Amino acid sequence: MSETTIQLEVFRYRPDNGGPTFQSYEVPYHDDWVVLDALNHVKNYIDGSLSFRWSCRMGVCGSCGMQVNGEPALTCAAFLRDHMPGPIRVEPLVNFPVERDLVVDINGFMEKLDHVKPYLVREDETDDLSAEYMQTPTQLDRYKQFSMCINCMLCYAACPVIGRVDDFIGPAALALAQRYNLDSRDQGKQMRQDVIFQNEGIWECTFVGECSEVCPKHVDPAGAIQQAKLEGAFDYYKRLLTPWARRS
Amino acid sequence: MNRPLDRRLGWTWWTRNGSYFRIFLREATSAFILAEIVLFMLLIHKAGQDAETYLAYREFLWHPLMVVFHLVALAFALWHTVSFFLIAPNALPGQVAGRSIPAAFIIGQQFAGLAAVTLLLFLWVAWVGAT
Repeated sequence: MSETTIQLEVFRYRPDNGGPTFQSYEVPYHDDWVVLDALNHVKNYIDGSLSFRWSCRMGVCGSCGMQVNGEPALTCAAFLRDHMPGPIRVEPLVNFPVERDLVVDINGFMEKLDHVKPYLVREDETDDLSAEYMQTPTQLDRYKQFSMCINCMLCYAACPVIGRVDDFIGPAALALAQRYNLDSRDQGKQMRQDVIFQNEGIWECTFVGECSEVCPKHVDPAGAIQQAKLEGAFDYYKRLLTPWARRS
Repeated sequence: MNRPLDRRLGWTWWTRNGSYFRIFLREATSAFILAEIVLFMLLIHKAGQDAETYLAYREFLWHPLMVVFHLVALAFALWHTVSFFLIAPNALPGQVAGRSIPAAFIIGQQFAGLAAVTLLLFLWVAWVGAT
């Protein structure tokens, strides 16, 4: 009996070897295979020159995000069976510079992430490792959804604003800023506000909402940004109406 | 030599898929609303002039092509309103005073508010017409 196969159309780009092209590979079809399995099959048995990123294979590390039939997706969670009979077109995430084949340059994203200080900031930080910052379940619920981000950058590939405004901080970084701003243990809100309230911060977002649609962890970055906008608007009017009050 | 390839979505992003196109169209509805506001402001301006000018302008607004335009603008305005109401829960904090607010409640409140304001306007117009 002949083996069932499916065709992959894979984006190829070697900077020292002309412009981008698509290369077709016929790979075995298995019900429980995901696109990443198919790419690994290509790499191991058909064409060892194919380059792509991956690590955990279980939707945790966020490394294997690519465009699968035009949609940003984690290839470890994109089943071949959902794209039968194929072909499946695999491309690098859009809105990122492509280094080679399916590998994109994520330095810009990492810099933006760094700007929003995505970690707990404490004014009274000590070296005492036994220090505890207590939090109630209700306080946890305020930001828990936004803390599920795995930095897979699918939201950056889905965001049309990122494609037009180079300096836009973008959905994941802004959602993480909101995540820490909502955390009762954090004291770095003012430091982050200076970044997220600038022109390239929350106000650049036009609420297209695709970032939330493609998020594999249901973080809802679009919601986080709109909530930050609401908060920003309240803060602005509060300062306007009470100029004597100190900026807290 | 390392030459990263630029693959940004660019200005034609809204042509890439149906979802983008619907969002683009939703934003474009504001152009129709702006046009209706301009027409309304002109109506007020004409009302301050002589009766003949005012009536001629009113007739222009009742031209069959203008009626089609008004209906299209109304459809877009309603679509924008409904889509705005539906996404509003995403823009609001999930909790107020430590209690979760169901999205259906937020959406329902907006529709109820719209219905109440519309009813009040109708009653006011009817009252003005009767007196």
